[in-house]
Amino acid sequence: MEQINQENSLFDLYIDETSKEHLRKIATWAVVIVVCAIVGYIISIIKLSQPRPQILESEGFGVTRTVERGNVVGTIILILIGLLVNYFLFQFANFIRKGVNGMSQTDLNTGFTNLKIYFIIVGILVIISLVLFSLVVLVGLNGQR
Amino acid sequence: MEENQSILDLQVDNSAAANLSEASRWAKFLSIVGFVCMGLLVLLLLAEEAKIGQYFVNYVPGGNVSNNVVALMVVVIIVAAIVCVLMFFLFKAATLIQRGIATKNQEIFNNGLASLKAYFTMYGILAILGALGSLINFNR
Repeated sequence: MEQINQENSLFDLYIDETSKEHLRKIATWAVVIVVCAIVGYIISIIKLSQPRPQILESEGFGVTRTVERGNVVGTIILILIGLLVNYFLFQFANFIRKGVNGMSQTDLNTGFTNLKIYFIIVGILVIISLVLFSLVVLVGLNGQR
Repeated sequence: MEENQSILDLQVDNSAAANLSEASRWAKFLSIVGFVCMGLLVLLLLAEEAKIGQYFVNYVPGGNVSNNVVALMVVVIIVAAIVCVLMFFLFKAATLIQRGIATKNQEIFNNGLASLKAYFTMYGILAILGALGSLINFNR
């Protein structure tokens, strides 16, 4: 009993009723974000699969086809990255809701782990984007000289 | 308030605290990058006003050039303001959650979660608007 009390005193923070209410709403909005993102991806895929008029094809250099293929590959890569990010956001929402409603400490902790992974992935993607953008700017500036 | 809690209640234990602290650190980084990028975007727009005007002259036939530049600036400033508000909620959430865990203060921790809720609510509303925009565009 004494040991339980000692362990309990280590964790002075609780998920009280206010926290639970906040976490439930966070989970609901996280699911909304995931659903909206998936709707966006589906629309992008449908748009990609639709036939497009090829105006420049008669010029014979194959530039349009290359650009189009590049767009398709780029869009698919972006969708895959988006799915990965949103998977962790969905897992976060799912486990937090399970943990709060079912009073499960394990599920709650898994939910927080998924939130951490979500922010880490987004952070790394932002760093990669900034590096790529800086490279493009540097190349552009060198090209102007 | 803590006296009312039973040991069977959910707690922010060592694992949860470590994960939330790490998540807060990355969230703070993201929010700072967001502030800096939006600031740079607005500054760049103000600095390159003449070049943007030239772009409108060259590539957008017709219309009043100065009106187009002003409209673009207004749109960019509104977008930057929205992103900054979003990042403010994220920054506040990250700071308060980190501080709440460090000081083991329930009220600060709950305020952090409230800010995180505000962030996700705003993000969700923007996501709904974005999805609606995509659907409207798709039907055209």
